[in-house]
Amino acid sequence: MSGGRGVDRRTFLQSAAAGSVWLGLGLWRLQPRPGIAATGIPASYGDWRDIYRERWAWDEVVRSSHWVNCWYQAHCAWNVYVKDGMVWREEQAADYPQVRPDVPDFNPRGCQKGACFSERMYDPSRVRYPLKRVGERGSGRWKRVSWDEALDEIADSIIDTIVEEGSDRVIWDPGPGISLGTQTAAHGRLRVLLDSTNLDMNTEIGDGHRGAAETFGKIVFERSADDYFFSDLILCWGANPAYTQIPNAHFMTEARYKGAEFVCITPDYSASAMHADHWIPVKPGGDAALGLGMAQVLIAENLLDRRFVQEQTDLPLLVRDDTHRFLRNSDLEAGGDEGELYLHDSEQGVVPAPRRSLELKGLDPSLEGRFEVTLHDGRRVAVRPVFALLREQLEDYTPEKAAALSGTPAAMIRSLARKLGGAKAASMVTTSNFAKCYHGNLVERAQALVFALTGNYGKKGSGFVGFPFLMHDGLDDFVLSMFDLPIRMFITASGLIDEARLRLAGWTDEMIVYERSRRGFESGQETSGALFWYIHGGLLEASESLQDWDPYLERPVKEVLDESLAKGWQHVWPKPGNDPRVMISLVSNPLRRIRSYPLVLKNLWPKLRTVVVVDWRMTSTALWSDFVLPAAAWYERTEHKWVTPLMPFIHAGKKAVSYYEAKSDWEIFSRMAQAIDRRAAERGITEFQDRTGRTRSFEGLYRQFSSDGEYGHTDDDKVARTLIENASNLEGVEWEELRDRGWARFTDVGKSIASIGTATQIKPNDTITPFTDHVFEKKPYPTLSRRIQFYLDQDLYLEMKEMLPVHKDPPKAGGDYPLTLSGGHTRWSIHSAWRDDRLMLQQQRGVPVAWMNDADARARGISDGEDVRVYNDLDEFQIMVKLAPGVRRGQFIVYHAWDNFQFKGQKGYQNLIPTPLNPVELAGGQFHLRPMSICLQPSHTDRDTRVEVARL
Amino acid sequence: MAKSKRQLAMVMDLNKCIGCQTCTIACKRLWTRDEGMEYQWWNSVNTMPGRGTPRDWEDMGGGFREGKAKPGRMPTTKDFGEAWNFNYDEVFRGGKGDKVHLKIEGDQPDWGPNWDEDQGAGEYPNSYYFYLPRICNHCTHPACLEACPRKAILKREEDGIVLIDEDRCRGYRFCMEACPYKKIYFNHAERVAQKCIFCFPRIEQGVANACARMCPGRDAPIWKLVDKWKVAIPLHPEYGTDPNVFYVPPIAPPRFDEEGNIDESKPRIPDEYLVSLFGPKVLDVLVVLKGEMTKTRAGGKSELMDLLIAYRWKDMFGGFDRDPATIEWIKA
Amino acid sequence: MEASYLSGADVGSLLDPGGAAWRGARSERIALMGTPVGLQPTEAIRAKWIDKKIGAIGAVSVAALHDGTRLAFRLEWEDTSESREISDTTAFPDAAAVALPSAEGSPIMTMGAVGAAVNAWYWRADEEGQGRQVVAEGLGTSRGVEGKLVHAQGLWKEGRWSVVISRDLEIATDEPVAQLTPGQRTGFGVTVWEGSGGERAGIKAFSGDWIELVLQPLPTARG
Repeated sequence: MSGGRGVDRRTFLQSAAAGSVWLGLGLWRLQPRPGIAATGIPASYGDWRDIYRERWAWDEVVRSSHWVNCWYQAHCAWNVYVKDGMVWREEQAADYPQVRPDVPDFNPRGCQKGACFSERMYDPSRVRYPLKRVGERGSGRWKRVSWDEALDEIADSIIDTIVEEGSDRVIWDPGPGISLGTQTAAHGRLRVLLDSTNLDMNTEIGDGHRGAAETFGKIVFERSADDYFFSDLILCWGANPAYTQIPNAHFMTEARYKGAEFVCITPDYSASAMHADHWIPVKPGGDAALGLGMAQVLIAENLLDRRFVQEQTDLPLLVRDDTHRFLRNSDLEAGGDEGELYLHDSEQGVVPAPRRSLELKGLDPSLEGRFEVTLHDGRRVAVRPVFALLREQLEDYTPEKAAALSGTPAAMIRSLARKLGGAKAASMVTTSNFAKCYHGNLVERAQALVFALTGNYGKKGSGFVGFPFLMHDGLDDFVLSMFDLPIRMFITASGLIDEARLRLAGWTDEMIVYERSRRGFESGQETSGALFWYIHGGLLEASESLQDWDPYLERPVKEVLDESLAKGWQHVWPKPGNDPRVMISLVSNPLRRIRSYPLVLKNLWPKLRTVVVVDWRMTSTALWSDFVLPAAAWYERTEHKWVTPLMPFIHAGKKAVSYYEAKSDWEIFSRMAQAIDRRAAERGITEFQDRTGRTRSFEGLYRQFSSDGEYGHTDDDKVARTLIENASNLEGVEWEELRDRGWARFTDVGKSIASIGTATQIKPNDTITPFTDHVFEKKPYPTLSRRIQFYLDQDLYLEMKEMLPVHKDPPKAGGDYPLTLSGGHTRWSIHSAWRDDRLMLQQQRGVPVAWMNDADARARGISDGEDVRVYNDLDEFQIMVKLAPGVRRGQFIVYHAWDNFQFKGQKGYQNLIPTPLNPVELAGGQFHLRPMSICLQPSHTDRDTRVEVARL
Repeated sequence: MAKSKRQLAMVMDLNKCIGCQTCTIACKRLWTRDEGMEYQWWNSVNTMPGRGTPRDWEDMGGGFREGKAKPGRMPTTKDFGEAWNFNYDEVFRGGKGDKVHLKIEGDQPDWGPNWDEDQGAGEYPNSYYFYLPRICNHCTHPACLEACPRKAILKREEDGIVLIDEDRCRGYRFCMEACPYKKIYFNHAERVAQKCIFCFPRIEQGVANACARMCPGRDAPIWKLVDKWKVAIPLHPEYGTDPNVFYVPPIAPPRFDEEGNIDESKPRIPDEYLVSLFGPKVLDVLVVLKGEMTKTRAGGKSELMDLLIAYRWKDMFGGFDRDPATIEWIKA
Repeated sequence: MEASYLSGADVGSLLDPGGAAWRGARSERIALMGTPVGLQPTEAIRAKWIDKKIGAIGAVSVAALHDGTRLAFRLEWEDTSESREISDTTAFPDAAAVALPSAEGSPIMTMGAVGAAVNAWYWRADEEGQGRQVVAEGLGTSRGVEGKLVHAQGLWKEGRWSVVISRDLEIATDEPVAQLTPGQRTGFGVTVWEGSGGERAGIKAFSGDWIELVLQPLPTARG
């Protein structure tokens, strides 16, 4: 028959094929699963319904995921439906087991971005072939080259740089797309073999959680998302899980149904605030005052968990009245221990605070009082417990005073403090928002304080949380195992000896792990990305006016930086003055990401001989590179990836399809290693000196990379198997099973620096609560005081009067303008990976937008949908404005990760953000304030940027 | 008209919906990717209050008033929001440097399917908004079906799914005028009306709808919420079509008085607004919901709260819980 | 009206509204009327059109030719707006149709009855070149006839549509279509839809009861 649609059996076939462009639809029939044999019943066009039945059909289902940094929401097991060699669509696998019958399961996990990657991976943003720039940098003029041509030229540039100027001039910039799985194994081996400089970008992107690091000596600690089911109070303080934790959000809405009170504390009435029992508006930058106001109430109304405060925090420790420093053993005994601190016991008087364990063993530390001690030089000085100093300082933060600073009414501060004081288990929704504020450390310290005063750590469903991260610990061994036996033995043996020595001195496993990383920072195996861009990228230029913006700053920050580097508090590689020459950006997009990126283009780019971008898509950085190497996108490679305790299942997947000349990262770096090896030989260059002056050989580079040929160019699967075998925290997990099933629950937090801080046991049938090791096992915290530490007596903290958490008004970064340009992760993309995606843009306005309060806009004659000019002392850009009464007056919100090429003139919003360098972040020299991987380095911030907007 | 022997229904819990649009994309990628369907979003989620998708659909008429057909208007393509294409090649490979930037090709739009996302209403700090996911309501009294002069719309006896017979449809679009929810689109390439098919090919295989199964917020399609607890109610019952999609209405945090302190004397989302969407029953529903939440807040048990939580995800699909990956298809 | 026999006509010219075959063809002006709102098949349509004029086109000029194999109608009417593309959801194409009885006594006012079908040949401005054929046995019962058997082509010039709709006199199908032979006396009806006025389906202008149509017999072979 024929019909309105003009489709009959014949045209059915044609139109189905035409409609799907690259997917020739076949005719299909459903085979009942166990049952009738597949006899191939001849299909015919029954009626229009068959078109829909056919559309849904597929050839093959492959387990995969999106190997991108979704962070809090990582990860989700997806089934990828393949048809005719192309990915047709994806759907969540949704087969996670229920952990406990009284908590909801993790299904179905996924989001709108994952659900359209099957379209994204075939869109025009993809890189199909290696590209070489033929015009000026940034011109967008390319020539297709072969992999061999590209790799040989890159290899020559790397060899020239290493031989002529030094191996530290070759910079690896691993971005948020790194998997810490097979991909990172490749990158790790090559950069270690070449003695290159590896940027740690964590504090640069603004995830350094300095306040958490200052307080706990680490930033990694987080619960599992189902642990909210044991909370009766959940503080969503500065977070927006409705945008940033899409697959976890149901645990919060469901915990609310279960009886938890969900309180959202944010300046704007956000997508998360709408689901709160209470929304507490706060001024941007007012959160520390709010927290300190709560602390004042908790102490004044005696809503404290006194035992917790005495045992787990530094609040009983004694501080000298004269120097404002902790009373140390070295004060009392000449040549004494700098790290031994004291408390006052009502019976025993001033005694050393327990150090190897938090157990008080009968001590009853005083929280109040003033005591006298005799120093080793005979002087007598008065000392007081930190608690007394804190209580006194909190007089500046009575709810009435805190209200003026925070913009939150006093009655609300009081009632919130009382809620917290009365809660059986209060928890906090993770956020990295405050890590992106100049004074964010003070906010985090204040937040950590109110949870500590009320004993809300370690108990199920309780706790302020830091940086969620969970990975397997098999990577380091894999990188190390490439070395020839003598080197391997030397490294292993010296590590063991070192470790034994520290353990004898009472160091815990995590302290030892952090110490190893700190040595890497000193020797340059890793360097602070933030400092790299400040110094080599010339970003410091934007902090020149900082003294005008920050009323608390008494000397130029450049002076503090010089002091910090000179004293070895912080480090940067290459050393200042040694210009970087080659940069390899690995699924990174620094020219989009870096605040004030035009300074980097101006200062660093001309020094770079070769810029290589390895990515699956064109990015703002790819546009300014010399070579773009097509990486396999997520469904195109076998991979596994880190997650967070929020979702404590490692995720893995199998390559589903191929795409033009795109290659897996393992293959790219394996071939690059081989090219360097071969080109050096062809050019008669045999060796180079590494940065310690030792001679290394180019010969055998590839042999080592491949472990004597054990791992070939396309052995991704074999590499993964070894990594999983190496891991101590995936007990009983076999790679093949993991790969095919897509997930396996972690059995332990493991020994990785990025995971060990959660300090808890992972039990198979229970939710995960951080810090049980500290709170119940009494293991000391990795801080100077071995406790949760609220008092900091390093020189810069004394200078900046930040010994205790205080409120400081944010700097007027960018000049004295009335609006604060802030942001936050978007609902619509993971970093920039989906920012220019057609479907995601269609669900927005197709162009970048800024959010503004309707009254603020009215005052400027601006209407919804209008393009405006945004400016401050640095520069200007244009953007469409969206008006919303949920946005607080004075806020101008641009959500994360629009690519520069989406703005007129390719000038993005980051160019208005000076990311002023906060001098306290240059601290070092003290036990836990020394830089290490992912924290305690200076950071980049953006939330304090001031702007004005005007109609065009 | 013969009544369906069984009626499939869906419940959307607005206290769980976070506006992530995973349902929207799940549907888009499965059903509306072909030529002529680019602008179609059978599943859409809008911020309420708002003009919605299509723009101002609540003012377009259709449905029934006192049992009689009420004339309706048809949304334009611009009201729905056209499908946008972008100048990727020009930006990435055009050799024009920063003289070009990524933009929508052709006329710049002034509407799209989620144009007023997160805007809402009220005045800070008493602003308010919430999300409203919408699909075809697969009404018991479908205005579209009754309006079609070609009898091209059918309501399946076995499950109550309302389908447009695309072989019979001649693209007259009386259904688009008649549907008061404005959930029917016109395919410009095929010249037929198209709409949500309630994923009938999946339902036929025991697999839940893509929007429901892929919802990470775990909206709860459970009959007990409708029949026993009566906390799930239809949108715009006054349209007279007897929808089979039901909503658990939203509860917002308290509003503030002039000093910024909590003011419990009236709700943040005005009652009148919720009544205008869900009818007067919504106020009773809110009383039940809040009452049961108070119980669990005090440490008590509540069957209703347990239902809304749905401890086991698979329990949410009324038996349509087959994993699609277990289906094998063979080529003929 | 007579469908004149045109011997040896070029088919292309016959199918083309501006073709030479139509030069000198005798047109007959047929008055059209709107379908009464009460006859509209659904309540929604009636409610929507109760206060609106139905049937914007008041008259059409019709000519008919056959070449012994094929019957062609040429319809011409005034229309200031050319509505071809369905440029928006709210846009409708201009259209026209010729109806023929499939059997003696097929009622045109109800689009046929069971066992007494009406056969219609359609042209729609957005489906240029490709006509469509349906049979109906009562209101709302129309169904398509398989195969591209009807040819329809329209030309809009200076405020006037000229449309040719044609089909083979006899076709092989099981459907109850009109089967025609030269010399036959039958009836026909004409319908025109004015797209810019939102006309489609039963919202149309039509010619009322059957108009007589005689297919001129083939000349008798000589000698």
